[in-house]
Amino acid sequence: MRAAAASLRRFAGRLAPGGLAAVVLTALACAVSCSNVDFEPANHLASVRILAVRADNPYAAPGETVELEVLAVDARKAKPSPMKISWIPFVCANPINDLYYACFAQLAGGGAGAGAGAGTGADGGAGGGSGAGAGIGGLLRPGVDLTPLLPSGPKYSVKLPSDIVMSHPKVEGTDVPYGLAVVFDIACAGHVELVERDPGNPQSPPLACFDAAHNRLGPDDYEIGFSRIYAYDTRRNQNPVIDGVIKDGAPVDLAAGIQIPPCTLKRRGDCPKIKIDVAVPASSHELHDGDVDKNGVTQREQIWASYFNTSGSFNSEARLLYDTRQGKIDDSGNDFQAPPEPGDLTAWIVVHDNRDGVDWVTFPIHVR
Amino acid sequence: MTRALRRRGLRRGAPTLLGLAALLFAAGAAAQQAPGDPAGPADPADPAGGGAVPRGASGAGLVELDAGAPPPAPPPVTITPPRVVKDEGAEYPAQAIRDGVREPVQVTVVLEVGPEGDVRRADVETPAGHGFDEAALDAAKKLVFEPARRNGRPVAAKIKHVYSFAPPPSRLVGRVLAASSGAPIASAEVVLRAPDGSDRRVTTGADGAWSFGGVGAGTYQIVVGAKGFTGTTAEQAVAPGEEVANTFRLSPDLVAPLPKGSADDEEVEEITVKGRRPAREVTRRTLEQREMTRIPGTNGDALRSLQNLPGVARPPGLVGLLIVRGSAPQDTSVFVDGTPIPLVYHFGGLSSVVPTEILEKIDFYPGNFSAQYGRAMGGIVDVGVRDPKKDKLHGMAQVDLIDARVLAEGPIANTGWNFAVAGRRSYVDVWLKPALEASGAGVTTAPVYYDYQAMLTHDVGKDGNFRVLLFGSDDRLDLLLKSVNASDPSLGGGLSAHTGFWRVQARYRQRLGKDTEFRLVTAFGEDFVDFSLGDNFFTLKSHPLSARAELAQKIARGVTMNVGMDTLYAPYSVDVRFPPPSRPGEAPGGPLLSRPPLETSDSDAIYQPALFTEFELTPWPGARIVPGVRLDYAKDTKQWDLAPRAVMRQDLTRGFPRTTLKGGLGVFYQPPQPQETNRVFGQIGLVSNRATHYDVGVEQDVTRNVEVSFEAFYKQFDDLVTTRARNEGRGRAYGVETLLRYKPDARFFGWLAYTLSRSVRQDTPSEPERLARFDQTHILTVLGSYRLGRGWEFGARFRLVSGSLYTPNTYGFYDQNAGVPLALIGYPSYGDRLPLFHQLDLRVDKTWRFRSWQLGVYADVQNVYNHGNVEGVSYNYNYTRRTFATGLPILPSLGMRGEF
Repeated sequence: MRAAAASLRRFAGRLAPGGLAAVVLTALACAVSCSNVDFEPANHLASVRILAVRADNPYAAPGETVELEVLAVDARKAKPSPMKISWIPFVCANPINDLYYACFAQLAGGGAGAGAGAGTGADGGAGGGSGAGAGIGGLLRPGVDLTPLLPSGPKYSVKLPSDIVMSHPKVEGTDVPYGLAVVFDIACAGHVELVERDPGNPQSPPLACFDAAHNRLGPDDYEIGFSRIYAYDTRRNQNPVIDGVIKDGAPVDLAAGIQIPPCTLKRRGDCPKIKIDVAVPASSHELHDGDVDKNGVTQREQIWASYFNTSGSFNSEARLLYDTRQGKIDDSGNDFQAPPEPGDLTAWIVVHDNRDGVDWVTFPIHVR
Repeated sequence: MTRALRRRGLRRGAPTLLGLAALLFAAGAAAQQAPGDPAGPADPADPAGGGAVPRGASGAGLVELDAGAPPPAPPPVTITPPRVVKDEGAEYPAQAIRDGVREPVQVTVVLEVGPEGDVRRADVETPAGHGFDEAALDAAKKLVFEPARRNGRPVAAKIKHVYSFAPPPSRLVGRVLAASSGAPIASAEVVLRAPDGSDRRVTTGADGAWSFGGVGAGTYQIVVGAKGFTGTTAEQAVAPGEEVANTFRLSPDLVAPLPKGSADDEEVEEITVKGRRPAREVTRRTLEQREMTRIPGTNGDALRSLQNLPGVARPPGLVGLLIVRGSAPQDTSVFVDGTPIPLVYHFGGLSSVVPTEILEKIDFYPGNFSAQYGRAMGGIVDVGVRDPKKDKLHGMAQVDLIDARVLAEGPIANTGWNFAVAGRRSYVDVWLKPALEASGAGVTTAPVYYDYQAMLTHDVGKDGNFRVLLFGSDDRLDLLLKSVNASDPSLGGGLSAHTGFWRVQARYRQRLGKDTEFRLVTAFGEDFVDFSLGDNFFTLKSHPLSARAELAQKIARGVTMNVGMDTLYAPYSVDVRFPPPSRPGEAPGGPLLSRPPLETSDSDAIYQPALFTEFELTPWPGARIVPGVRLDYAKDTKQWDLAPRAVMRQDLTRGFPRTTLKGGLGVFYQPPQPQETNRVFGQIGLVSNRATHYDVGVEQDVTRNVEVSFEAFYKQFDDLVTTRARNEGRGRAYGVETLLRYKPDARFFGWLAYTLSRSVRQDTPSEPERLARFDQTHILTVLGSYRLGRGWEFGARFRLVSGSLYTPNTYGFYDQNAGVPLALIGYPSYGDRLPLFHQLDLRVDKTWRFRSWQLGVYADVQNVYNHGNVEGVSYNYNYTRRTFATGLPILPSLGMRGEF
């Protein structure tokens, strides 16, 4: 016999890779000690990094044009060549099983009929996506600098196919039909070339970043990002709104920033802490259409803030602001400790909701 | 088995005068020397009057109690110690026999002997409990002395007197009879093999009777042989003062012509003294109570002890899984006396859901199991719950660093009913809650688990037994994670989990005649899962009703038929909101929140009836062939699965040392899990997973206590359910297992187990074959536990195991919706292996026995030499750097247990 509980418990395990127990224990373990103490924290910036992409309309309608804006930082100490944001002018519509990497086969091989839409870069370069079966990968070969051909700049507009919802295979168990478009971009401190994909690995990317001598650059010099744009006929989502930044309970003048003395103590843990929080109004904590809990109550979004900095240290990489069930979190702030050296540093707070909504804020921290 | 217990005449304790030490008391001042102290005479100028301590024949030390004024001068003092003139000795206490005390015990009494030679006062110096103290005092008060003398004058004195109690000898008696006629067999040879390997032999008289007197407590091997009959061997434990009777019924030797008129055609199994049924499987490994509770590193947990047997892989750290012969964990079913249970371990694998205290044994079938078991294609674990004790009320309480448990059991007045109740609660929340709160998490319910058991039994007639058992388990936690996991924001916010089950089980066993036995086990209960993570949730409630009935009927000479039914009906309701599952080996498309979740709300029922039959054949001496077949139906697939199986065992030698060849072949079906046939999360048109097991092996007695076995196995998996690929999965697992085992005796148990195996899967025909997730090439376990005496026991376990498999990650992409880097995941999955695992665990137990109860403490230390075993790989935020994550460091666990 297999009792239903066992089966469905395993089912939960399959839903969350590693098993239900693994999820619980991982969460617990991470809650207690999972701080990657041996590695640099994710929010300490020292390389080419994409921090976020904001869509003006996180949930779009079929045929609608969505403007994407990227927040990318070149935090390398030495910058032999500048970072440039390039967009892949290929809108991958409804990839197989909604897997972003299923787009690579379309991209490299000219597509299997799913590519559609159009794009426009803010700083120039060729825009325009391709229709069915006309990916750029079919026209170009490895070793060619693609950068002049790619739209570039922090913003990029994408027009979704008008049939993106209708053409998405029906997914049993979803409350409303949807479509998915995937857009790729690359922050590269060099130029972009096509590369041969590993035929044994479907995740293998078709693009890489090279220097002028055609040497492939490492992870500090580039980052490939992708954005999913979910399309619904009627469902919409608004980006969360940041009202401001709060330091130890007081609003921060974002232009002037925060002033803090350096900390030269040997033990970083003994350094004074300032509490930095981000003000997100309750109106941003929207109802999550279709997200009805087991008691029939429509739940709200989950909202969290990710913190980044070029120097000093935040205690947490991300903090919960609003929970789906418990609402606003009282102690959502993040402790910041100054670096030992005086100077000016930059901090970013990126606020996400769990429906692809994003907003961010940047402010200086002066260590005097 | 017939077992008669008779209290034999109690042996007198052997008194001994303690003659080594001196205790000198004078004028209220005491200068005390311990026994054995070789100190010379005390200072003759001692104003307390303690003069020289002469060493008499008995060597008893003494002091004059009625010392008056200090002597005017120190003339030479002659002191003569008291001398025993009458000693009736001490009776060995009956309570010690009941309590099963097997060690020699000494009780020292301190006596005040008056100037008339009478015992004025007697006190026990160090209580020994179990009735020894009372026995010593009773005897001491009857002592008569010739008084001590000081310069010839009788004086009072204080001395020590020691009573030594040796366990009274036991007695083994019995008869040897022809199996079906019951006629006595004369001139049969009965060999009694002692734990030390020495033999005693007797020959039965005309009435078939035999006896061995003067037998010490311990476990003995009894070997019976008679001309014209097939011999037999049995193991028998005997306690001090016990008389244990065994009747052996021998079958005629089939290779010899039967005596005319003989009807001795019964099976060998009937002469098994302990009445344990012979194996219907190629391999049945049974763990006894002592083994379950004393294996180091398991904290005395019964089901965790299974992980030390051959063919069972070591689960990764903090995961409680049973991984048997390369099968997936969900392919192995766990039963409590025939009733399936949905959970094996509480969270983290810290302990199993059924506590060791109520278990009698665990039967583990790593493959080719009997047709009575089905719906599983890995292994079977059947946990045997023991009946309550019937003699008097007993209780137990235990605390350790993980949990606390209590047990009470005994008869209910003179009703014929007996009861047992037990419960356990974990302590994890005590230390984990502060740790979680310190990390910034809000804790509504810190992780905690419970389990509970209650039982009533009643004998029905001479050959029947009825039992009702309630048991259940509950694990829960409720947290608010305020620091969001930067690599997966889904792991933040509310996290709650509540899982559990309960069952009410009724069992009825009745021997309907000499050749017929009926067994019925039925159970009803509830399974529940309530899990939520952010806005995803999974809620299940099910009320399974299971029934298993089996009729065993001897239908001809050497032929027994077992026929039975095994049915499960489980109505359930489930509500799920979760992102779609990935296929095995498929890189996820992002964090949980990156895809629209799927939702389903469903009510249905699992209905899986089955019929099975098996024949137990003994066509020639030493042979045992068990062909069987099982027919399963699953409502989900709407299909019948017919699973033929066959097992054969052949003893190549008669009696000791036994050599047995064995082998088996069988087909095993496992229906898809409910989620796999769910219209939202699963697929339609599935059929059952199928495995074919092939086994061959040999078992060899080395000594009476040592057995070695060797087995080779091959399992072919077909029609494996694969996400989005129907039943296209396939695979195989193969390997060899060896077990060198020292069976438990009065002092020691232990084994060496080694498994060499390989397990591979192919998810679809177009994909490459890959190693199965839990494949472990080498698994070596060496363990043992030795009773040192005086209540001390010491055990050690060493494991050397191939590292677990993992899938390497490298620098990949940035998910701009969730704001997290995603890894480029190695393909195919589980392509790399972690370093070799090795660990030494030690356990020390100490038990003190008192008059009416006993107290035990233990220290179970895992990873004694603090080896940093690698349990996983940690990556930096963008997977450009990695390091090995090590498991538990040296981890001592202390526990205390009292019982009466």
